[in-house]
Amino acid sequence: MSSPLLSIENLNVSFRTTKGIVRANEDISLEIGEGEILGLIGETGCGKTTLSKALLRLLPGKARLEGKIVYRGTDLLTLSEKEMRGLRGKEIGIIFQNPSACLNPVLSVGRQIAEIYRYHEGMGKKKAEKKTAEMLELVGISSFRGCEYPHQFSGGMLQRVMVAIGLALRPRLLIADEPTKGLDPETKMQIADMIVGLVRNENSSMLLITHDLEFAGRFADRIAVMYAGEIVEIGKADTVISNPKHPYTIDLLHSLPRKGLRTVSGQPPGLVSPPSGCRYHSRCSFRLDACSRIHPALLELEEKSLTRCLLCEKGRMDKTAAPLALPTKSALEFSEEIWHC
Amino acid sequence: MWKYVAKRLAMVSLVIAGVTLVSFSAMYLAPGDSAELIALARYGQDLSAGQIESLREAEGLDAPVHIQYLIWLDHLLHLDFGRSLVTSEDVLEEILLKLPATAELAVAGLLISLLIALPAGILSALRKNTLLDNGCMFVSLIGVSIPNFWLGILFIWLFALTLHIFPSFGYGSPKHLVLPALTLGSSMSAVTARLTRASLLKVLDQEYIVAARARGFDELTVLFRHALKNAFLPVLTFAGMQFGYLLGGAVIVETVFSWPGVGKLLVDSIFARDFSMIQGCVLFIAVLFSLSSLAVDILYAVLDPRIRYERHD
Amino acid sequence: MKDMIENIETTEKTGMSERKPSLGDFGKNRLAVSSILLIAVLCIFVLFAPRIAPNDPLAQRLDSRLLGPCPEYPFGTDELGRCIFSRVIYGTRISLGIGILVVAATSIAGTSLGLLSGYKGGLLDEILMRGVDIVMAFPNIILALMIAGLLGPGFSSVVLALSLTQWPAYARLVRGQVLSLRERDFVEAARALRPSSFYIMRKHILPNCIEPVIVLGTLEIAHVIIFASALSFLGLGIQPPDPEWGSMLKSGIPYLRTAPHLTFFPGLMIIFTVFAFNFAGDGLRDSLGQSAEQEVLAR
Repeated sequence: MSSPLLSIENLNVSFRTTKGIVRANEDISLEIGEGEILGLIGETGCGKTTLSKALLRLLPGKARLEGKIVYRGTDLLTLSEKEMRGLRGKEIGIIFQNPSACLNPVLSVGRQIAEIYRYHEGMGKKKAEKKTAEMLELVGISSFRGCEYPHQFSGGMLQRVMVAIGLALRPRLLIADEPTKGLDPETKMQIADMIVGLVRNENSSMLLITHDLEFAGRFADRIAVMYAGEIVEIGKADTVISNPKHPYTIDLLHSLPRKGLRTVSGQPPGLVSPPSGCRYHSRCSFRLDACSRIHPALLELEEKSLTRCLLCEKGRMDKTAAPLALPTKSALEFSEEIWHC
Repeated sequence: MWKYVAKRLAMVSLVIAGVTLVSFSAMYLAPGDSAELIALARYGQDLSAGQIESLREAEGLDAPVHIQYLIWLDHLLHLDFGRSLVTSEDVLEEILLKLPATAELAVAGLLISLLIALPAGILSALRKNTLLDNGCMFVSLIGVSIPNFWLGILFIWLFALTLHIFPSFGYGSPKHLVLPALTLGSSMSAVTARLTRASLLKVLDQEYIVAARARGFDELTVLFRHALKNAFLPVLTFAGMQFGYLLGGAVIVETVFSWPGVGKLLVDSIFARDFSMIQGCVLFIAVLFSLSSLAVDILYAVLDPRIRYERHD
Repeated sequence: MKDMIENIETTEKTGMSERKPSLGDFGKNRLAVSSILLIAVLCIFVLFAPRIAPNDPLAQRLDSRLLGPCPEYPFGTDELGRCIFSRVIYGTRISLGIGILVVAATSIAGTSLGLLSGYKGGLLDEILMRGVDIVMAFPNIILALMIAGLLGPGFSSVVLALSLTQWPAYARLVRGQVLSLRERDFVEAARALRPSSFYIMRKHILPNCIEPVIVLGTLEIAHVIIFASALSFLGLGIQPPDPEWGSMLKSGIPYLRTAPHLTFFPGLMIIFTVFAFNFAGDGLRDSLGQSAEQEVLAR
C-alpha cells in the first residue's frame, strides 16, 4: 500500500474573534490517496471552506493551525511562505466557490490563465497564450473568448474558467469547493463530469467539497462527512451511502427528495462554544443520555470506515429503531436514480 | 460604452446650462442696480438719472429677465463673456491670460500631492493597523484640519522670512513656484492619502485577491497586477473631485502668494465689484470643472472593462 | 450562526464586530472618546468666554501693540493692542456658531430633500438630482465667494453662502440610503399596512438614515469652520473688529516678520477646533462601519 498523497493528522483550525475563539476545524484526520477522489460533505458553515483554505495556508493571519498536513511526505505547516507558494497552483490547485468573485474584473480571462504559465513556468507571451487557448478548449470554452472579461460570461462558463485556472498546471491534488453551486442541474452535470474526467485523466487526486450527498456519491471514491467542524464519518462512497453509520449521515440521506425530504430540526451549533458531549446530540434521533456528556472519538469500525458515535462504538445501533429503512443499493445506482428521475 | 458616454455628455450639457442659469441669476439678484453700477465703473460719479437710463437701454438692462438671459447666453455661446467693468478689457481674454499661471500651480500642486499621498496611502493599507498605518492616518487627520492659507503663511514665515530660501510672493521663476505648490500639494495630500488607503483596503478584501494568492503568486505580483489596478478606478473618480478642490484651493493659495492666476483674478474682481469679471471667472471655472468631470468619467469608462464591454452571453 | 465560518473571514479581514455597529461602539473606542473631550473644551469656551478671557476682546490699547506672549496677555497683543488670547476665545463663539447654524440648516434641508427625492423618485428625483449636480459643478469656494461677494461681507452672508453650497452632500447621502432601504422587506410590509408615504418616510426610513447624517454633520461642522475662516481670510466674511480667526490671520500678515504670533495663534485655534470635529466624525464613522468612500462620495 503506497503512502497517501495527502494525510491530514489531527488538524485544528481556530480563530480569535471578538466573540471568543472559534474552533472552525477540530481534530480533522483525513487521507487522500494517489488518484483518489475524496468527497467532503457538510452543511454551510460546518467548516469545509475553512479546511480547504487551511490546506493551502490561505487563511488570514488571525487563524491558528495545529496538527499536521502531510503532503507527499512533507508537513505543510512547517514550510515557509516561499515554499508554500511553490506548491500553490502547481502541486495543489483549488477551485473556489464563487467564480464571479474570484476572478479579477479588470483583467481578461485569458490573461488570468496565461499569467499562471508565465509566472510559474516562465513562458513567453506567445507560448503562454497558446497554452491558455488549449486549456480553454479543454474546459469547453471557445479559445476566442480568452480576450473577454469575467462579467461577460455566464455562471456556468465562469466555473469552467475556474476549472481551467485550477488545473492549468496539472496539480497532483485538486481541491474543488462546491464547484457546481448555483448552477442549473444540466450544467451541474456537465461541469462535474468535466472536472472528474480531467482529474481522472491525469490520475490526480481531488478533494471534492459539497453539501450534496448524492453528488458526492456519484463521483467520489470515498466520502467524509463533516459536522460542526468535526469529521463524523468516513468510508467508501458506496458504503457511506448505502449503509451510513452516523446519525447525521442517516439524517442527511433522509432529507433527500427521493427519500421523503425529511428535514432535520434545529440548527448546527455555534463553533465558539460547542455543546458538551457529541456535537450532534441535540438533533440526533438516536441519542442516549451519555451522548450529551461524552464526546465520541473517531473510531475505525470496519476497514477504512470510521465513525464518531457512541452508538456505533458500542455496536448498539438498532436498525429497526431507525425511522426509515434504508435501501441496500450501491451508491452509483442510488444516485443515478436521483439524477434521472 | 458609447451609450454611457452619450449619457454623460447629455448630463454635462444639462449641468453646464444650469450653471449658466445660476451665474446669471446670482448677478441678476445681487443687490444694487446693474445700470448704476456699470455707469459708476465706466464713467465715475457724475451721472444724471437720464444718462443712467440711456445706459440701461443701451445695455439692454430694461428688457424682461428671460430675454436678458437669452441674450447673455447667446453672447456666451459666441465666446463673448463681456467686458470688465473696471478695465474694459475682454473678460475671456483676461481669463485666458491668467490661465497658464493657475495651470502651472495646479499641476505642480497635484504632483506634490500624489507624491506624498500615494505611497502613504498604499503603505498604510498594506500595513493595516500597525504603527505606520495609525500614525499616517493620524497625521493626515491633522493635515485635513489645517487651513491651506495658514499653511501658506507658515511656509512663508519659515522658508522666506526666516530661512530666506524661497521668495514669499511673485511669479516668474521655478523658485517662485515652490512654496505655493507645496502649500497646495500638502493640503490636498491628506485627503488623497486617506482615499487611497480606503480604496486599496476595499480591494484587498475581495475574494479574487485570495484566489490570486492561491495560484501561488507572491505578494508583490498580487499587489501590482491585481490589487492596484482595481484600486485605481475609484481613485480616478476621486481625482475628478480633487480637481474641484484644486481649483478652489488655488484661489486661496494664489491670494496668499500673490500668484497671478485665475483665482486671484476672481478675488480681485470681487473686491473691485467688477461683476462681468466675477461672472466670467465663476462661469469659466465651473465649466472647466464640469468638463474635467466628464473627462474623468470617459476615462473611467475606457479603463473599466465592465463598462467598456457589455455582456453578450 | 450557520454562516459563521464564512463570516469569520470577512469580519477578521475588516475587523468589524459581527452585530450591526452602533453608536454604542463609539464609547468603546478610547481615542474617539477623547475627541468628545476636545469638543467639550470648545463648548466651554463658547459658553464661558467672558469668564475665561482675561481681557475684553475688542478693547484697544494702543500703548501695548504687538506685544509678545506675557503673563498679562497669554498670546500677546495684536496691531491695535487687543489681547489675542481673549479674541481667540471669543472667536469660538463665531466659528462654532456659524458651523452649527449652517450644519443645522443644511442637514435638515438636505435630508428632507434627499428623503423626498429618493422615496418618490420620478420627475421630482430627476429635477432634484440635477439641481444637486449643478450646485456641485461649482467648486465649493468659488460658489461661496460669488455669493458672499455679491451680498457683501457679514455674518448672515457667510451663513447663507455656505448653506447654499453645502446642502447637496446631505441630499445625495440620504437619497442613496433611501434607495437601498426602499426595497427592503420591512418597508414593503409597512406599506401594506399604511401606505401614506409621509408616514413611511418618517417612521421607517428616516431613522435608518440618521446615523450617516450624524457622521456627515460632524465632519461638516469641521469643514464649514475652515470654509468660513477662509472666506473671512479673503476679506469676504466676518470683518474686523469681530474676532474671527480667519480675519485675525489676515490682519496679522503685514506683521509676519516681526510679530508672527498674530497669525500663529488664531491658526492653531482653527486647527484645534477643526481637528476636534474631524476626529469625532472619524470615530463615529468607524464605529458605524461606514467606509470612507461613502462619506467622500457624498461630498
